[in-house]
Amino acid sequence: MRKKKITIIFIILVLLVASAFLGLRFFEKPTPEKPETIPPKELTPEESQLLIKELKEKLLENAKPMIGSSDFIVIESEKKGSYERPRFEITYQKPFDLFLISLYDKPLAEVRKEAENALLEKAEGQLDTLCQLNVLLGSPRFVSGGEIMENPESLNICLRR
Amino acid sequence: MLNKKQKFFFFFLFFVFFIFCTNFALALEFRAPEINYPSLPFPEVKSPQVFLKEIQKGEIPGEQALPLYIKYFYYLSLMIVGLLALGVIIYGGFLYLISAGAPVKMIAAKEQITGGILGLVILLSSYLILATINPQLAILHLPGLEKITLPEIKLSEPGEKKLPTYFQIPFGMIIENAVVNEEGQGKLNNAKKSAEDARESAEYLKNLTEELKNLAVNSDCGLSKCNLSTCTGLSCLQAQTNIVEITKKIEEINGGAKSIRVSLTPGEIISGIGFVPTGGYCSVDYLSQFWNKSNLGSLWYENLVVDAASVCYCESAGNPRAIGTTDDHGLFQIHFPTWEGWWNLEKREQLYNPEFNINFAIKIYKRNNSWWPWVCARILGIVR
Repeated sequence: MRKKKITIIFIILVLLVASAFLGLRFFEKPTPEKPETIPPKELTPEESQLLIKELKEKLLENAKPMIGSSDFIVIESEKKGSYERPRFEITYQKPFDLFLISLYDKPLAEVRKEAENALLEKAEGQLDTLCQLNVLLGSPRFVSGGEIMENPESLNICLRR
Repeated sequence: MLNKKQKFFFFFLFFVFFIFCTNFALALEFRAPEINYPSLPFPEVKSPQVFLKEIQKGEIPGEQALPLYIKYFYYLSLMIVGLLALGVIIYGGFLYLISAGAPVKMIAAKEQITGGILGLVILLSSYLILATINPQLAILHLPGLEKITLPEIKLSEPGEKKLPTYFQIPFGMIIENAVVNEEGQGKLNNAKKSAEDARESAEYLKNLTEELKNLAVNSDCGLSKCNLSTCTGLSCLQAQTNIVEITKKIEEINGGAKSIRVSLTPGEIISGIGFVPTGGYCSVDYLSQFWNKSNLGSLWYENLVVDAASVCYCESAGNPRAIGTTDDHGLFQIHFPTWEGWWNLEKREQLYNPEFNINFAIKIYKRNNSWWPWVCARILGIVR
């Protein structure tokens, strides 16, 4: 009788310990409450201008001024392309308030995507504001062979929004 | 008399029937329960009257009624069994107290206390045991059916701007713009008018040429070779007038053809063969300041700057520091070995200055009176 009791207690204890170790892992995790989606606020033109100004400042942080001109190199691809030059280069042409994206490698679509993503990364994901900047994309004839790319005055990432 | 097993079976059957009947009834209509269930001292457990109200309001999905019922009864039974176990322990303790001198009663009391404690431990650890067997059993949640969201198909609206394919003449786009766009319609009307003018001029020219031919056949200067510039005969004078008319008409036709082209250049696209940026060093606005308008007709001027802009963008993509693979430099990719020493060009670095580069390109253009030195001009069909 006593032996039987001890066995039952032992089994229960083992079960409890096992439950504590194994069962606890499967406890139902409280599902995080979904944050309420707040509809985007309509910006006034002044607010919008301010955002654009701030973004430009962010992009031009650490930009290298180009010798002999008022332009700046904003981003240069770390990878070298086929022409001993970075695969792409993003410059800011101050007189025109224009971000020029020059592609120096092929395939142009791929390099363009890389360049646009690099710009978006530098803009810390502010796509809406980025899409309001003046941009010009292009590839010189010695790379493109005279092929004119589609939609050269706006970013493809802006079209997909 | 029913035995224990039969009693348990009937109780279980009744319990299941009770639970499911309630749920089916709820499935038809959510009504407040007729029995007022006691609220439990567990904050996470809602009594049926509370959660049914929430279901009615739509705060909780209706599918959750059954799990909430189970949860409620589980906690309710936990509380009742807990109280019973406590009662058993207390009763065992009381028996133990009054069993002095009676070892059999003492053992029975001890067993009762142990049984009560074990029951309480098993009860409290039931959730853990359940979670160990299958964790899904411990999750009281019935997933509802997922809503099917159909992908949004965006139909292009009339007049929506399409992406132009520049290396082929986008007749489709031009026609579409012409049909659906007011601006395009205007361009097409201009082109049509210019083409009609050109056709009329060509017909007039044809008639004049015929007349000239007749006059030439009929003219007799009395010399072996008839010199139109010095002849004095009536036919000869008529021929001279016709030649002036023909020259004028040729110019008109040429102008008409040019105006067709201008009418198709809204500042960005040159009839599908090139691209003129609206901003930057290769824009028409910027390049205009370098051409002397007074020396050129307005039509020639407009075409020239548009051509310059498209050549500039094609050659360097608007980058003043573009360096070609064959020693070409700057906006117009000027070939340094060819032009070294010309118009003060001494160093390659000079060509990186946009103003110098553009002025230099203009000088090359004027020297050749054509864009032929630029490969892009041939690619874009500006020169043949």
